[in-house]
Amino acid sequence: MLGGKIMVKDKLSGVILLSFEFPPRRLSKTSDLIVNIANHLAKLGVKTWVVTFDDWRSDIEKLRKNIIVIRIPNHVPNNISFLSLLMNLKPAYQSAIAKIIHENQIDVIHLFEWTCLPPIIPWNEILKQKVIFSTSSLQKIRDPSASPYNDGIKIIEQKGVQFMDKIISESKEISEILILDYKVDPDKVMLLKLKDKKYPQKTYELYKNII
Amino acid sequence: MTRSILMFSWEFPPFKVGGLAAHVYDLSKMLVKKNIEVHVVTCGFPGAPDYEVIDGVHIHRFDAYEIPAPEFLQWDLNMNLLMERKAIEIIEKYNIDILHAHDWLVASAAIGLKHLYRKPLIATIHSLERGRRNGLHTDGQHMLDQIENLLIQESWHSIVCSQYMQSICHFSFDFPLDKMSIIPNGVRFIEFSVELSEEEKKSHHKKYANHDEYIISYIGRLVPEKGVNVLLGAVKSILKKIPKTKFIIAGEGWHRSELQRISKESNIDDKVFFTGYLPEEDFLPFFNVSDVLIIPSFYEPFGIVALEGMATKTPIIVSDVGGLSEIVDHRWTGIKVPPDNSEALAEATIDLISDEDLKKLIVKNAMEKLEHVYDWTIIADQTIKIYEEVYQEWSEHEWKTPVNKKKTKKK
Repeated sequence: MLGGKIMVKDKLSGVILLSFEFPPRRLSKTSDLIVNIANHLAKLGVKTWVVTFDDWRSDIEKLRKNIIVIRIPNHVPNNISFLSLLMNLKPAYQSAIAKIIHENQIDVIHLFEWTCLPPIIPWNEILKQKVIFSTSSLQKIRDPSASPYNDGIKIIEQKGVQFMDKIISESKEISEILILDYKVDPDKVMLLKLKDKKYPQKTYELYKNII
Repeated sequence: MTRSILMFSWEFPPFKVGGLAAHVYDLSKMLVKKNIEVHVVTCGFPGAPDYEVIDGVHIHRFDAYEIPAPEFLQWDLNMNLLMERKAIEIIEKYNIDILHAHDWLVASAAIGLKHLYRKPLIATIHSLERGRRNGLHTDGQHMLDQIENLLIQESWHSIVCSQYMQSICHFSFDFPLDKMSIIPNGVRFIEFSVELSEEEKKSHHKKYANHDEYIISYIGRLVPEKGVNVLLGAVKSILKKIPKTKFIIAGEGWHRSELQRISKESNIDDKVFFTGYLPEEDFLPFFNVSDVLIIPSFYEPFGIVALEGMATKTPIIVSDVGGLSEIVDHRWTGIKVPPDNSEALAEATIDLISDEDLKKLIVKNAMEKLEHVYDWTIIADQTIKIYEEVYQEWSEHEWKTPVNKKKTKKK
């Protein structure tokens, strides 16, 4: 029902890349990686939407042929925590994603880092698109101490990864947490480092194999 | 044609925190009687079934505590993820026409689903954070204010309970008046108007006061915006004229210890009795034995307790603020006094207690107003009218569920 028909095919029609950063807002190497993936997909004729957040801008930018960047608005700028910011950005991410999948043929939604999990967690059982998650860090590594805040993020991560069609992990340590703590099927986890120069190509191959 | 509504409410009886649960329950029940299919998605609690039908209303519960949080606001935001997931199950199983969200607490889930399914979203705004705490003083409050604004902006149509609320939404959020309707809260006045026998009355009266003492009461949450301190400020003046009087403060809240401190320091603690939460069986008798019910709020988007007082035939004195100003016609269905003015409150209380004719007139008129304005049948009809108007607008609009677009084309 959602996002139109999905047919068996050898070519990708459309991809949504969901991120918390994209140039000019660069927080880590992830933003540059997303640029590289988007460029690679665009060259191959795959229509690519980057749905992202920027503290200082909200716009829709046609970056080049086949790449549209949607910087979502921040309707709730005052927050009580970083997690509350992410939760309050959720409806704006969802509004953008829903519009794209209602109006376009989308095969894959690719999320980068846990910051993008909240919009997808409620929807992941109903989306007809394949959903992929790339992670270079998990809460257990960032802050292993037990607190309601940290435990909340761990549960969010756990709920998020449960229904992913594939998870791209940055390290063996992350893969182990995913498999042992979050009970993810080991076949769904693949190791691919951010610094791998062929990350975009390998991602594209993954998309093609998965649809 | 039967419409199917999905209501989002974080509380639903028997889980009750504020007045929201009772409102959603009474409205849903009456809508069902009028042939509307109502589903409510709400937080679960220990021992509650995941699904049950109460008075024809489909109640769907979920574990709202699956994602831990350090405090309430964060908990609520986390809870919305779980509520949204549960609501998807309901929408996929039943043919839902309209999403109806109650207050900011469920905004995130309702807005997400509005976009996912392209269904019309109606929001009832029961109160606003900028009113609850007399301004916005913390990040948390600003956050709530912005969420409330977002919910109003995202809704196809909003419902508020009073002209006061409408004007606040309009001026605070620059919100067009034609996207907002006023539908007041209601009260089950027939259930409330049951009178106790003289014997029962005596036995309940004994719980709070001596047999020859008047009872002046307050019932509600003990939080600053309710103005209970103003009532305490009036106690000495009232006692000067009517010494045989007890002041009964029913309810709980974080401000209770401060109010008790005021009571003690003013040397009125032998005349003021804090009951805490009243057990269910004492609720109606409490109103019945009260000679006057005082509602001294500084902020009141509606003031449902005024309707409860009116329904139990208890004369009411209210501060002239918010929704209370609209419920009470001065010296006709109650008495209005300026807010935050203990002397005016004392004077009005003494006048009312001393004037039997005025009490009778107020009780009679109040009951008539309940029947003609605050009956749930009337309120349900007004709500259905909005559902129909919104559904009609939506079905003619290009922004809607693609599946229905095809259906429309076929027709």
